[in-house]
Amino acid sequence: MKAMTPNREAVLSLIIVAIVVIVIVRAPEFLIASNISNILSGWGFLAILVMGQLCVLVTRGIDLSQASVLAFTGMFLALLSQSMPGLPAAAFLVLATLMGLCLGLVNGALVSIVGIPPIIATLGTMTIIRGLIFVLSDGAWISSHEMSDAFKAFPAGAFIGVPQVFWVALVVIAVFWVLLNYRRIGRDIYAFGSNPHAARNAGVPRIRIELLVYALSGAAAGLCGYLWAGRFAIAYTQAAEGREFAIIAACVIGGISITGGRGSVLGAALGALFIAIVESALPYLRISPFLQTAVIGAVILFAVAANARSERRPGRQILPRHKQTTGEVK
Amino acid sequence: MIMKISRRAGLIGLAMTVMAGAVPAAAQDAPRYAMLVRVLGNTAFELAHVGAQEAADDLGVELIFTGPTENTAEGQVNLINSLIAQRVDAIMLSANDATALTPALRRAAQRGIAIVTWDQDTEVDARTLFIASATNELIAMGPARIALELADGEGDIGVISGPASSTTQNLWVDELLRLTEENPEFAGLNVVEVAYGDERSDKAYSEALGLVNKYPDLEVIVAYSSVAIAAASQMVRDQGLVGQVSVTGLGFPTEMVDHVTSGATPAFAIWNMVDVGYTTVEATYNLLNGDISGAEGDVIDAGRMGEITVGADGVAVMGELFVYDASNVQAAADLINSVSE
Repeated sequence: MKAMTPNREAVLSLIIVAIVVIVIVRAPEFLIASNISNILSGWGFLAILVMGQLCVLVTRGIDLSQASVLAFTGMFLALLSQSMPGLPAAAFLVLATLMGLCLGLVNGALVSIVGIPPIIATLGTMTIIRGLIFVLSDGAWISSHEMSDAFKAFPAGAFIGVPQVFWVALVVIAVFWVLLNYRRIGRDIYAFGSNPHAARNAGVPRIRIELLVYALSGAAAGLCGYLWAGRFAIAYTQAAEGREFAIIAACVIGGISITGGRGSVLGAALGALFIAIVESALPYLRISPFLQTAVIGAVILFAVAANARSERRPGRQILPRHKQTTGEVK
Repeated sequence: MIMKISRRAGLIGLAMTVMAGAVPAAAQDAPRYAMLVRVLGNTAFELAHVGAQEAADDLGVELIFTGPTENTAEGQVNLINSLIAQRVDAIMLSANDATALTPALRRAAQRGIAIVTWDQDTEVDARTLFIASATNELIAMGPARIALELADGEGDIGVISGPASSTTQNLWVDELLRLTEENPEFAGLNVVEVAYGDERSDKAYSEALGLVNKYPDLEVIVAYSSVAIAAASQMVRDQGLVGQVSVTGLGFPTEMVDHVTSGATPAFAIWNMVDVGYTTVEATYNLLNGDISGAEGDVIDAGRMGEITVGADGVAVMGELFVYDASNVQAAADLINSVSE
């Protein structure tokens, strides 16, 4: 019976399948193994970022600095691998996550302790961190031959034929799934996002929650930064510039409410899959490059609209509904 | 009234621009030349800086090197305004927008500041001189020659440009298409598709992968973007296609060492940005000294670069692109690294 009521995730999955079918009919070479592996790694990058963004959006915040954190961490670790070629990949993974976490804590502190609105705080750190990359690298690129082999081997590698980025994304998704669904702090995050005042009155620690979600978002971006730099064997100042758009689009498509309180890990992962598929399909569809951005925008609007319809609520409830109430409160 | 005054100011400004060649630079201190790049943090401009500094030191000129942190016309306009306020003697810029900078540059010219463009031009009447590292045709031809060689005279090639909205990169692609259609030397090259990498590694990588998957007979990928050539080379190596599909295009020695030695990119071409920066400062010095006025037929004494003749519309072309391959790329990269430190 439960399957009869369409939910967001199911509708989105159907839309994704429909798009894949349309693309395959028009361009069968879309299904070539190398392209599927490229989609999986593209999805991996986006999914990791989206998990962090999900937590922030649920608390009614937004993190615009993720792409900058990604580029900064990538550059820092690439430089590190140049000066310390002996470091193993595991060290880079841990360092990248920690570095992103620290940068995220700065965002968290600006929002929760200083009290700057999230969009302004992260817009500020977005530009500051982007500028710091320049300071760090002196504007130069770090290219393939300047990175240590250990640095590149893991992100560019594959496990049973599937890119490592994909597996890392699965682990990250599992961690966020447990955190948000089975831990008290996860329920606190949702409670805080649904109604900050009520949550505070119920004893949910606001500052701790906000510090945590921005730290998580930063950690996800930092981890991605290492994988990105290693995967494409390049670290440069403008890396991933403008990716914020894709991240937030993936979240919105995945049914995460910009106004907070709602959004699931599964929805976010599907939203990322949607974007990854649309982006990788464009080269195969031979759509005019001048139209590509317009096509992406239109497809996103369509997906969000179709998705929103499936969960339209009849009206806004003002008075609390009591358990014993049988009829609809109007 | 206001209209009248501003129009008169404009006329004076115009007169001053015309005379800029004849009036020697203010004699008090060393003349100050501002070099304005499209965006900070791009190796090409860092190299131009090295060459410009070399010429400035030779000529006793103070060089101000600046540029916006984001590649936008607004960023450059703000910097032009600030340079006007600093009363520099010359602005030498690589324009990131062909038209949007014109009003700001006119204001600068009205205040007697010489405007010289290099690398990327503005509208013709917004500047006196344009130092072109090569013509669009020569730039398109550099990688095309390499592609011709890699494809043994004929074969399918795929092209990757920068963003679809980038004027210069797409001019080069248009020139390449024209060459393959009109020039018998390049008739063997069959361009199957032009893709756009948007100067993003991940997008360029996907586009390159798409080309290989869509066209099984593809022999060469020609990338007119330094981000795309690296991403395409990485793709060819990841997919184990080295030897089957070759990558060439425009790139920088420091960024391409690994891809050249791996065989993914057997050779690539680029103009020598150090020389471009050097020539720009030399030419600006000529202009401010009154040796040249920017008219067609004027001869620039460009120091170690020899003499360069100004062509129509104040365009001075430096020459053909330089080709790097396994024999010289490492040495060039080492040289550039040592120079920039």
